[in-house]
Amino acid sequence: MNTIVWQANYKDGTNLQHFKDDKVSYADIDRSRLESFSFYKKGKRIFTLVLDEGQRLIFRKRSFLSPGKPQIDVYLIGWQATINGKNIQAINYIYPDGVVELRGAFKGKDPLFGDIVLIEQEKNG
Amino acid sequence: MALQIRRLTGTGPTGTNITSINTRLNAEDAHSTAGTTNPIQVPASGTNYSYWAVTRLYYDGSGTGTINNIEWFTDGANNLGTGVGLVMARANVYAQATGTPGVTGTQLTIANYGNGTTDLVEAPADAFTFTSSSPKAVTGSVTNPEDEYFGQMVVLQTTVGTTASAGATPTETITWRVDSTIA
Repeated sequence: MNTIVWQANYKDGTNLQHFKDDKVSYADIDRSRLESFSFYKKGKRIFTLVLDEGQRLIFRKRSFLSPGKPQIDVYLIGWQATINGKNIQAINYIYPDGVVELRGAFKGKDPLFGDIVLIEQEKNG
Repeated sequence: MALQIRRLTGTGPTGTNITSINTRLNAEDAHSTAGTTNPIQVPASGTNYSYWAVTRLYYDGSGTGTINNIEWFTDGANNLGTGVGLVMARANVYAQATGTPGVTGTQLTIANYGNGTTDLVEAPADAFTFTSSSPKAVTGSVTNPEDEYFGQMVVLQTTVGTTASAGATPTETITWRVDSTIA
């Protein structure tokens, strides 16, 4: 059975769902109408981010691969906003054991907490 | 559908998925987890080398989204033993490893790799200088991957000096970090 991974909830009550391995992309989210973003694990909603005006969604799967070791995936769900000309971020790190850690700005080149590379849709709002 | 680390060998090259296994750097252009046929000979003088090992990320299957922001690092501690080192450099092009099987590989240098000028991006450096607090950035990204390689290659080579002991070294762990919008 194909399981839901995330759901973008729009202000008008509609949504965009992404199921594992389907063709709906994170880039397909209509950010102008976005109200909240829910993340699912094994088909169960474990996290929802509600966005305020001016907050722009960030979502990433940050993966660590080492030969001979299990892959570690940490999901980053948060927002960025431009406040007084400065880019502000608040990012939730969802660890494999389900623990969620809320942090502020990205930390440079740090592999876990470091900067992301924005995709085009994130740059535009 | 999954991310993989692959080791490239041969003329093809052949890509071996080493995500779930170790790979041994011997004096041969081949992947093995425990091969002993062509070990690196401990030199009487100077330095011998493993054949260089070309590694690269691969996306197995198809995905909708972007993978980018690649980093590479070690734990920062050389536990390979006295006289044994590990160097790394990024490459834009695959070049098959050469050398004398069972003795030594050709030293990994810009001049010895590929076209001798630009295929190896930089002079090899001690791999253990790249740590989680100071990782190596690997250029490249892929959007909507379909069974394909992406990003630069990372080329590794073991160096063996006269003070090295015979026998297999302890294993070392290298880590690739990537960001993905493919959930």
